Amino acid sequence: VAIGRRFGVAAVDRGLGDIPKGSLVLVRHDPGVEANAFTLQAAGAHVTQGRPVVYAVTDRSPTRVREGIADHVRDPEDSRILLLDAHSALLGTADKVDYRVDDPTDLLQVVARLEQAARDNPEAILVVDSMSSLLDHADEARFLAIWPRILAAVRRFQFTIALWTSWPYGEDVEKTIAQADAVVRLRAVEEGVMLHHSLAVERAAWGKSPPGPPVLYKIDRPGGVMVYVPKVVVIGPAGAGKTTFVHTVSEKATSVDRMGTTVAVDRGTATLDGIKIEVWGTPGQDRFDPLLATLASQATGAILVVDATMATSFTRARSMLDKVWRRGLRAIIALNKSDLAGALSPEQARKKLAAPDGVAIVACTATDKDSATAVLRQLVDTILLAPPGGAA
Amino acid sequence: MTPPTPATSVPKFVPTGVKRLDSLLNGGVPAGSAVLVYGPPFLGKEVLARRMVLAGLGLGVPSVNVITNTATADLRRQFVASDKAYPAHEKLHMVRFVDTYAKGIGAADAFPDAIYLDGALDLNGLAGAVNRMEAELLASHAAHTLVLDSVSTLVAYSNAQTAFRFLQNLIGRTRRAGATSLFLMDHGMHTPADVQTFKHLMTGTIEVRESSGGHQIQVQGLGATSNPGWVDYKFDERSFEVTGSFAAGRIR
Repeated sequence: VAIGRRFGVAAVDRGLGDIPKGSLVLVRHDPGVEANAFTLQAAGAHVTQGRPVVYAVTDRSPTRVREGIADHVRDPEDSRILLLDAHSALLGTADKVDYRVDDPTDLLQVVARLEQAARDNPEAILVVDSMSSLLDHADEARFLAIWPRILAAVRRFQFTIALWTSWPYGEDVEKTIAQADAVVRLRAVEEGVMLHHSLAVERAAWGKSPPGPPVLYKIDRPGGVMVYVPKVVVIGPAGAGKTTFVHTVSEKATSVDRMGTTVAVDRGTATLDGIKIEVWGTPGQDRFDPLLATLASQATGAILVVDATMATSFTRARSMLDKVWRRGLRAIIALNKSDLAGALSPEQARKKLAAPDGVAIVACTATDKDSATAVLRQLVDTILLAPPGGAA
Repeated sequence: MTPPTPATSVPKFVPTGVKRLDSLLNGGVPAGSAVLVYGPPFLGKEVLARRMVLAGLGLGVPSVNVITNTATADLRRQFVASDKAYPAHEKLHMVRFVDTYAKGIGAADAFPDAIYLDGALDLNGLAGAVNRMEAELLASHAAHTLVLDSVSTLVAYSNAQTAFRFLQNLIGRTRRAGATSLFLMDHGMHTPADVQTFKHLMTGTIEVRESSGGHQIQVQGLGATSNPGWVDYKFDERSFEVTGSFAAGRIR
């Protein structure tokens, strides 16, 4: 597949399309996210197709970068990777590179090397790994002062992919960085530790709008960036309406049904705002609890369906929630049959269930598509868009 | 979100492993604290940090050690020399290392519970490595200790502003992850304004200094006596002992 003017990572290409000449694509990521997996893979994809890549490295050894790109290249010997080294001099080491910056804290020197590399390699794309550490080597004021020249230099390449770690920088820096032509956002869904990673094309000056929704991804080795479908497990006491819920939210669903009670699993696929989600329903009887734990261990989220008119089932419901709960499994409680007389309100149910803080309780009618979908949407939003600190 | 059934219970305090310092602290370092351990070099800050790590391990609390100026192999040797029980904790994978030093001097061995980074400049990589170690520990433990030795090296490699942004992020996250942390920082390498800024990131400070006849320690914040003042201590490679007297009144 010719990647031509593409970013070079399929999951990003979908949202970004062809990148116009001279554009700056910023990959903004939460601290600690392994964002260079994207740039190493992209660089590998381009050099494999014969396009030269200038790779500016600022915070680790250029040798490490060469090795990282080699993982994505068919013939490492033959690839045109030109390393611009704005790191080694800070440690007093010397790697074999094409462009060396003698003092990386002097951003003018960095710019001069970028300009030189652009002159020498007019067909090249540029990777800056990372732009934020160029700032870190200097300081905010010097970075802001020199930014117009950095921007002019990177625009001389076919296009530029620059990483940006979202450290708590000042407002002026944020405004300046917003001048990038496109932003790919990598977020960590975390609860103290990172649990999932999502990527989204946040904006592109040339692209369709709005760009794609966030998707979950992981880094496979070998293989690189892989998008995966989030799995949601639907749990709850027998008769709460789990099977109905799965069928209502799904475009397609299958159940193994015996005597009106689910004895195996319901399985459906739902699509929310373009995001595909696998929905798994589990049997409610306690003899299936081992199955419950297995399904939950593979899931990113859980929906506990309870019958709002049957408070007697709440003890069982709560113990099921406890069984699947583990770090990283986001959960929500669907208070089914809320349209019936005698249904408990979410507040009453929260009390009776002793629901943990941070687990939302939503009134719902599992037979109603909008109502059930709203529950799924709220859960998926929690998985994909949770701010640092999660729901804590 | 608080798990209703955590894998292990969260202790209220992590003992420092120094008996009288623990009584000064009313039990130990409050779980979840971020503590700046500040003072001149060679006054035993590292010994104190090792004491706390070992005391935690003894109670089943695992540890992440972020080291910027010691190799993993050396720190492991010091742990072994200080505590016979230490190797057993390693066998249970309770001691983790994130090492930005060993590679630079060609001393990166293949200890499986260590992540070796190219240097202290890759702060995003450092954040990621700490996170990976914490995530692995959190699968089976509700709390852990974290020692970063030292903040001064991070500042020396980059600058105070950059190290500050890094720590601001790290402390916020690791506290949510259930870490009780010590951040070691050398007196004499930073401007007073920078030291003040770093102190503000923390929940408390343990400070050491030289005095006429020896060494003194002072605790601020952390539920200690409102003004315990400077207290004498002595230390060697393996032990750290508070010898001076202090008022018994404590904040409850």
